[in-house]
Parts: sequence; structure tokens; C-alpha cells
Amino acid sequence: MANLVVSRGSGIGQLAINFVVVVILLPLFAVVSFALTSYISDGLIAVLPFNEVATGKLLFAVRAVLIALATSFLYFFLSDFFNRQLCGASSIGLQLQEKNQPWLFVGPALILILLFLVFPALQTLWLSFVNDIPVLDEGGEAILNDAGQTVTERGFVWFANYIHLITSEDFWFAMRNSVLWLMVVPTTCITMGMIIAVVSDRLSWGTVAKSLIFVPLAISFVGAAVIWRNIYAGGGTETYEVGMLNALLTPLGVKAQFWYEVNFWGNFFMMFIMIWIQTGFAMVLFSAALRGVSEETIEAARIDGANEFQIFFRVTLPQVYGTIIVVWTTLLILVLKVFDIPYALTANKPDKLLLATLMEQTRTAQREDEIAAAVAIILMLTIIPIMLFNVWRFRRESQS
Amino acid sequence: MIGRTLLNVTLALIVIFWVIPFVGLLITSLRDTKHANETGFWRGLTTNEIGYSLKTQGQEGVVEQDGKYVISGNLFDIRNEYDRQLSIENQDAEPFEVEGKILSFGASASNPTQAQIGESITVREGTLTVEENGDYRWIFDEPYTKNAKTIGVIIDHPPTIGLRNYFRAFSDSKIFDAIINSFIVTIPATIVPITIAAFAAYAFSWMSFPFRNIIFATVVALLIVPLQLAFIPVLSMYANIASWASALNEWLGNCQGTQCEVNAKTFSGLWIAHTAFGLPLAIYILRNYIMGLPKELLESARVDGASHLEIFVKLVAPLSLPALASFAIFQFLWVWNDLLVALILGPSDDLVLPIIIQKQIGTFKSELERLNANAFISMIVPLIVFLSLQKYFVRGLLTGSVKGG
Repeated sequence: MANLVVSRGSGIGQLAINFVVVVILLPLFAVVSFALTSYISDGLIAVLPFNEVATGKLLFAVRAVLIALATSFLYFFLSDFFNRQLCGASSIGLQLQEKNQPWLFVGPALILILLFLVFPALQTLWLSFVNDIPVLDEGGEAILNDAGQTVTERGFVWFANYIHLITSEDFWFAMRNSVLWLMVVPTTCITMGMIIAVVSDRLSWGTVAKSLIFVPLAISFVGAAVIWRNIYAGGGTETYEVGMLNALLTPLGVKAQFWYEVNFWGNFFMMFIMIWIQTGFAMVLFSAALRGVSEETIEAARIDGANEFQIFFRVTLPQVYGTIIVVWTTLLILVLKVFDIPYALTANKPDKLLLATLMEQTRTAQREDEIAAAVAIILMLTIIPIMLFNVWRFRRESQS
Repeated sequence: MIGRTLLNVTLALIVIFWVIPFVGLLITSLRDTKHANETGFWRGLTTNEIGYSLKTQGQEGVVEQDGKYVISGNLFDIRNEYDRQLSIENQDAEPFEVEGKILSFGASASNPTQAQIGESITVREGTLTVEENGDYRWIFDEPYTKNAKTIGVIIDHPPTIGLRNYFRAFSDSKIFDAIINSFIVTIPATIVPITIAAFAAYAFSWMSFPFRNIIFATVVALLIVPLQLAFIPVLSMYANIASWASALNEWLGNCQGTQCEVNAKTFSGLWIAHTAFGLPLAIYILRNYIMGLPKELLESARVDGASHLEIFVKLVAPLSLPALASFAIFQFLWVWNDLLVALILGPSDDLVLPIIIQKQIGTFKSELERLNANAFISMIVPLIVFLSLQKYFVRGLLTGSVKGG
């Protein structure tokens, strides 16, 4: 017991020294090795017979990659080494070593998560409540500086940023579209995914079909936007249409146009790109879940005279209900963060804004970080109910 | 039996629906500018009627025959020779040939249907006839002293399919740089979080320390925090670090004035941000896996006196390869395909492929064939990774989602 107290008391000290040593040594290693390898790289550029600029870039890439990796590996070996040296080999030392080890292992991860996720989230929350306020003189008039501009100072403005936000038209466009995306995309992905999983389970070429439908998961949203542009685009000549949808619809008397640019309905054409990408995800999870459905229950239902539809809706579906919820929540979260597709295709037309694109627009075009922070917080607030639901399910699952 | 046919047809329709857009991309990326921008990809393998403006020869080609002054030659040859010279001058890839059957022609580019083959029209006081194969005769009574004339034609043009757009993309330094940059960004941003997360996951599953479960639950909860919450503060943090570095630089005295300024957005900044953003998922997937490793194995190694580091390096890491691979694919695809983080934290404007493609959707409106080729180039690497390691990707999806989070 005494040992424990002693070791706890001094353990933090060793841990701190260890971190400091590592924090100084690692960047030093990175910088020095980068400087040293630049000589090697210069030498190689002079010797190698290829294009100088291209070789320089390639060598920079190789050096950067190797040094970044070496630094991250080195941390664990250095910290382990120092941990042994600092704690010593006495029995108390060994206990200390044992106590410190987990923190050395989780340390980098926790520090990065704190620095890049937790603190920034709190800072964003704070930022959404502050703004520049005009400084007033005794008479309540705004003070002007020599250039005739209002003098401002930073201060707490309560919900002024949020009010500014919700009184703007763009925000309600973004809100409407985000809600539409949330309603349409996950449900369609789940329906399509389930149909494909069930159907392909019964056909000999089902696996081939599934792997084809699965492929869009690998490509970027921007790439998918280019792919679907070929389908949705307008343009062409008197004889021919460039876009496939126009070519199919103009013979029926529909006016040729860029389908994703149409007011309001254009949103649905962009949603479909997302559905095209994500249905594969739903399909894979449902396929796995369907394989877990017990054969006996299906057999029993069949003997009782149930038809295929009754079996599916009354026997199979309840057994994969959990997976449907998982897919649904995962897709909800994914859809809320969608940025690339509307950004790439319509470049911030108000009618096509989503919360994520609205935030980027507020941040870059209007340069209002505080309002952008408020958008981010609203984005977070939309996610919280989903998160709570997930935590509740996680708890219930780990209990059972 | 009818049921089975119905199933087959349904699935076939869905698959066709899913595959056609890909086919469209591929075909468009192989076509010629004029074809890709005037007809749809489904006409990429058929003959199309396309309007061209082709040039005749001017006064330099006049030959006196039987008291008349004649310019003659082949419209296709003139055009193809011109294109070839132009591509040599610009060090560009070999151009597609203009070929096919001429259906009609006219005195100006805007009126290519003025006359049918076999008819003749009067152009600049001369009589012009054009054959199907591009041969033309332009006959004058007086000596012709003017320059070449552009005439409009409608050509029944066979498909133009080739790798020209890909050659052009690879000789475009912007695309070449973006490919290299994509690798520079993606490789460390994939491997560094794996190392960091694997150690953390090991600690979370096999070592005991205070608040372990609370910390782990928090990390899992962070899985769904949108990155948007982090961008503004991380940017200002980088700006602060850069201004400190600039001040340090100035204090060291090896630079002057604006030379001292350090860029706030760097590759390392991008790596660290991607690493941090990927950690929650990595820790979650890896802990789920490492938890499931046989306890006896690890305990007997402990009894034999192996340190945690040795156990991790020699036992846990090799055994967890499938889980490491699963996360590696997720992270690789996510970073390679990422637009938003690179746009906000990236060190230059045209940094990685998604940024370039996104801009070209706006700027290449009449060079769709190049847009499509560049987009396909941006997909090659993730497709190779994805298709070769699909097994691990599926496994990651299943552990990552089915068990919770």
C-alpha cells in the first residue's frame, strides 16, 4: 500500500519528464533528418537522368513520407526506453513503469484527440456566442476612429449570432435541404439495399451483382459528381443531347436542362448520387445480417403456410431490425456532413445549400467565423439526438 | 418460375442502372472534344453526324487548268496536317483524326447544310464542289488572290476512341503534381494513425488504468462529431503556430522581413489533422479486434517476462493485421477522396486531385472529355486498393457498424 502511494506520487513526475523529452526529441529528429536528407536528395537529383522538377517532387514525397513514419514509430520506442531508464529496475521502479506504460501508449492518441477534436469543439461553441460589438461613448453613440469606421471590441453576444443566422434566407434553404436529405437518402438506401440483398441471395450471379453495386463506395464524391454529370447534364447540338436523362426525356416532350440545377427538385438529383454511392454499404450489412437469420424460423413459417412476403415481413425483417437501425443511424450522420456533392455541382446556389456548405460559404465568402461557428453548432445539435440514441443502444447491447 | 424470372430481371435492371454511369465516364474520357461535347457517351461507339469547320487552301494552291484557276485538295488532309503541326508545337499528345463521310457543306461555318454532295455552290466568285471523301475543287474564272476559306461541313464521323486525354492529363503538370501530392498527403495520414491508434487500442483492451472506460466511451462518442466543429479553431491554432515560428525565424536572424513568414498551412499540419480526425474510428475498430485476441496467449507472454512493448510488437500487431488492414483501407479511401479538409487546411490551392476535379467541373464545361479522364485518373488508385483488399473493407464495415457506434 505504501509503495502504491509513493509510486503514484512520483509517477506523474516521471511521466511528465518522459513526455517533455519525447516532445523535444521527436520534432528535433524530424527537422534534422529532413535537413540531412535534403543533401542526399540534391545529390540524387543531380545524378539521376530524369526531369529535375519531377524528380525533386518525388524525392520530397519519399522523404516526407519516410520521416513522418519514422517519427511516429520512434515515439513508442523512445518513450518505452525512457520509461525504463527513469523508473529504474527496483521493485518500486517496476511498479511505476507498469503504471506509466498505459499512459505512454494512449498518450499521443488522447493528446491529438483533445487538441484537434475536443478543444476545438468547445472553442467553436464559445465562438458562436461572441462577436465584435461597437464601443459606445457615454451618450450611447458608437465611437468612430480616425478613418470614420466604428470602433469594435470582442464580447459575449448571447444568441445574436444564431438570431442573425436564422433570420437569413440562406439558413432556411440549408435547413430545408438538410432535412430533405436526411429523410430521403437513408430510407432509399435502406430500401434499395434490402431489395438487392434479398434478391441477390436467391440468384447464382448474386455475388457478382453485389460486388458491382459495391464499387461506388471506393470513389470520391467529387468523382461521383463528374460521373453523374454525364447523366444529368444539359447541352449538345440540335441533333444530339449530351446528357443521358435529356436524351431519354426530350422525345417525351420534356424540356432539356441541367437536372441538378432545377429549382428545388435539383436537390433530389444530387441526393440520388449519394444513394448510388451508399446503397452498397446498406446492402453489405443486410447481406451479412440475412445470413444470420435462423433457417428454422423460416421453415416453421413455411410449414404453417406463410407465403414469401409474409415470411419476409413477419419473420426475417424483425430479426435484422437491429442492423437496419445501425445502417440508418450511420447514414444519417454521413448525410448530415455531406459537403462535396452540392459544392462541386452547384457551387453554393442558395437553393442547393446544405448546413455543411452553408458553413463553408459563411466562413470563406462572408468571412464571418462566428456565424460559421453557429452553423457548426446547429449541425452538431442535429446529430445529438442520433448520438444519444446510439449510446442508449450501445448500453443495451453491452448489457445483453 | 415466373418469380425467378422476375428476380433475375429486377437485379439485372438494378445492376445496369449502377454500372451505366461508370461506363459513361470511361467512354467520355476516351473521346474527342467535339464528339464528347456534342453527343452523349452512349453514342461513343457509333457514327455521328457532326458539324466541322474545315479550311481550303488559299492563293498558294491555285493551279491554272484549261484557262481556269483551280484550287483542289482534300479537306480532311489539310485539317489533320494542321492539327498534327499544332500538337507538335505545343508538345501535346497526338490528336484524333477528322475522317468519315461528308454529307453536306456550306460557304460558312454557320451554314453547313447549304448544299448536298454532288451540288456546287458559289463561294467568293468561284464554284466549289465537295466529294464525300473530302476532296474539293474550287474553280475560278479570274486568278484567286485571297487567303484560305473556312467552310462548314456535316460529317458522318466514325467513333473517335483513344487514350489522347490520358496522355494529355499526364503531361499536364497540374495533374501530375496533384497525383504526387495526393500520395504525400495520403500515405502518412494512413499509416501514422494506425500506429498511434494500435498502441492506444492495446492499452484500452489489455492494460488497466484509471478512467479507462470513460475515456474509451468518450472516444467512441467522438466518432460522430462532425469535423466542421474543429475547422475554425484548428485553423487559428495553425495560424498562431505559424506566427510564433515566423517570430522565432526573425529572432534567429537568418532572414529578413516577409521572408521570415512561415506558412500556416503545411503538409505536416494536414497529416496531423487527418491523423487526429481518423483516430476515433481507428481506436474503435482496433480495440474491438484486439479485445478478441486469446487472453491466455498474452498472459503467458507476460509471465515469461515480455514487456508490453515486446508483446505489442511481436504478438498483438501481427495478430491484428486484418483489423489494421480494415482501418487502413477506410482511412486511405477517406483521405484520398477527401475534398473538405484539403480545401481548408491544405498548403496550396491546387493541392490534391479532388480539389482539381472539383474546380474543373466548373472550368472544363466544354472539355468534358478531359474532365472525365482526370476524374477517372483520380479514381484509379482507390479502385485498385478497394478491389484488391475488398475482403478487409467488408470486415471493417461489419465490425465497425454491427457491434455498435
